[in-house]
Amino acid sequence: MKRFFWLLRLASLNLLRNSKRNLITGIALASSFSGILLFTGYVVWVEKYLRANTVFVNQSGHLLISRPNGLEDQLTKPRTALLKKDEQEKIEAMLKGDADVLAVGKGLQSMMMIIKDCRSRGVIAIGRDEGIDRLSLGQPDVLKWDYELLKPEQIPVLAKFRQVSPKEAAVFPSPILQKFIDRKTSSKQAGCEESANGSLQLLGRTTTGEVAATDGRALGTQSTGLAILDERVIYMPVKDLQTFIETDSVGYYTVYVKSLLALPSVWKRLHEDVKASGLDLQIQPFFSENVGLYYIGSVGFLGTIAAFFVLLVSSVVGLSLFSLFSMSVTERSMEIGLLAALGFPAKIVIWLFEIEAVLLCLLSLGTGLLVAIGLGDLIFKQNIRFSPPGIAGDTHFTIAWEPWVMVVIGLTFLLVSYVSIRIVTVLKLKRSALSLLQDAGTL
Amino acid sequence: MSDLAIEATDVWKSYKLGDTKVDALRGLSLQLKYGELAALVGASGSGKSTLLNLLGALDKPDRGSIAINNRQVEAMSDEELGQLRNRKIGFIFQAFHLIPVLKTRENVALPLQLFDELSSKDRKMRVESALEKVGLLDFADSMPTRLSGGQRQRVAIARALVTEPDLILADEPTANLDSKTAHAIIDLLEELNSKQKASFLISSHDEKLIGRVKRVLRIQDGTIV
Repeated sequence: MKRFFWLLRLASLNLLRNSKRNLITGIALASSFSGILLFTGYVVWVEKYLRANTVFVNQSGHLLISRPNGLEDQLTKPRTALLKKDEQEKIEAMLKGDADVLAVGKGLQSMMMIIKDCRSRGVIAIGRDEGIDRLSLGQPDVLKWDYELLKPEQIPVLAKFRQVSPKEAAVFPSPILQKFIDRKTSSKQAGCEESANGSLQLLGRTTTGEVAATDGRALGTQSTGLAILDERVIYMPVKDLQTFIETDSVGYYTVYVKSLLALPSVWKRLHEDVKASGLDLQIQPFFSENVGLYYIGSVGFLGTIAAFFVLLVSSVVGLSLFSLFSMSVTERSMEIGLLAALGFPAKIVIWLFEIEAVLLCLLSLGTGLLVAIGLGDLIFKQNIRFSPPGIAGDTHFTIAWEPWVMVVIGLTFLLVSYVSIRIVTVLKLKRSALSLLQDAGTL
Repeated sequence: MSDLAIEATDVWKSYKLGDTKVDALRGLSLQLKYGELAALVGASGSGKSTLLNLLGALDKPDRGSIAINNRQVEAMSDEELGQLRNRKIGFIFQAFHLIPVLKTRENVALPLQLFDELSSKDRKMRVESALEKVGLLDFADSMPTRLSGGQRQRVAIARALVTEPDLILADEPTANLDSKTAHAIIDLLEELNSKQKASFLISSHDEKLIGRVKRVLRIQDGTIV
């Protein structure tokens, strides 16, 4: 330990000795690191935003239980695709008492037309579980990353609406569909009288194929957060949708776990229980293509790019450090020779240079980290609005920090630095102490 | 056990200079007793430095044998050679070879970093004793860049002494110094030799300085003449 501190001191002094060159290298390292952190911070934000969006805002849950292909078939073959009452009871019994499960929700989807005065539009109605909405409003991930998407004021509005208008269906269209509803009707069109604000009619089919129609009222907008869905989605309370299509069945169950770490075990237990029960069910996580296509597509794509950039930049950093330390070690050939002549084993000399490289790298990484966090904070405070591809409307440009991602990137940089200096010094120390002593140097 | 600090027998050493093979040492034999001080004199290219490098266990002979402290150098592993250099041999280089970022006392203490058995207090005592011997105790906390050439060589001598070696090898220790300082360094080496048990072998081509040393070994064309 005493020798380590001695080497640490000597390494620190040597770093100061070539202060200009080391400063420039340090700045290059720090700026590369902070650049990579900011980029991966954006990718991390996308992941967190889309995860909270998929799991809570769009109520797909961490796990989604349906019949095989039930998620798609419920729109076209509701009679066979929906989960009947007895099946619902069995599923609820399986999940009851599971300590890792935070909540269980129900979902249902149906195709319908919304009619406003003389205009109509085909939409997918997604039945929302009100309990999950209330739960979502208390979820840290939702509050932190998707706070612009959930609207807590809609819960009391819905409750009040139920008391005064029990025969109307409550509807929460996306902002795009709300514009369709709000559009003024041309008075020249025969028979088209303008109806009251927010009132509309819903036209669809029951699960038995009968025509279903009812009055509805738009109580507020609810975005899916995704551009492709906002074009054609309205949300309704799942009970209202069940009443409309005249069923007590649901399309799927959603399971919310207390911690993502518990997800694999809950998934496994559920799979075993379903198998034991003999039910023909499919359990899909939020990151499967059927459930979270946009999540898995975007995160997979951006994650691959981020990993590529991390490797690219760390390789460039490694080569730069290799070049820097090659020069530094060559300049100090006589010093290395002296240490060898005084009997220092090669490993101690290698340690000295490794400690120098690691020290320079750690100082640079620390600086890069502070710069990245400062810039991330500054970017957040600027309240920059932007429209990322696929996201509905615009959103607040945010950089998110994930400690393990930062640690992995930092360790990659550190490993590259370590390997660079190791190669340089080991190659140098293949020469004899005598030839090193006779080498031209700076001593 | 013999009373010889160095025993070199029929030592041959050659090296390549471009495509030409140069025989630096040709069957050289030499003996140096414990406590003895000898000067190694020869013209430039006569093989002085090659011999000192072999005696200092920095290199191995092509042929022949070298025993330092009764141990055959050519049979030793790199690790053993390192230990021998650290514990038994003190080097004084022509170019001083001080580490510029370390203070005088830290430069002197450099070889003691491998003396795990010494406490910090003992190390400090050894360093101060070595610096006192060379008259630089007052400069213990100075940086080498603040010292004159003569003072730097004294630091190098203190570094060679600090491990209390059996053999001190000085390769042209006065070559980079002015005449007055060079005389002072030789005086110091003589004085240290009389006080220490160590053997001293000093290479030089300065005849005036050599004239002051009792035993002179003249080397010419790779052999002692």
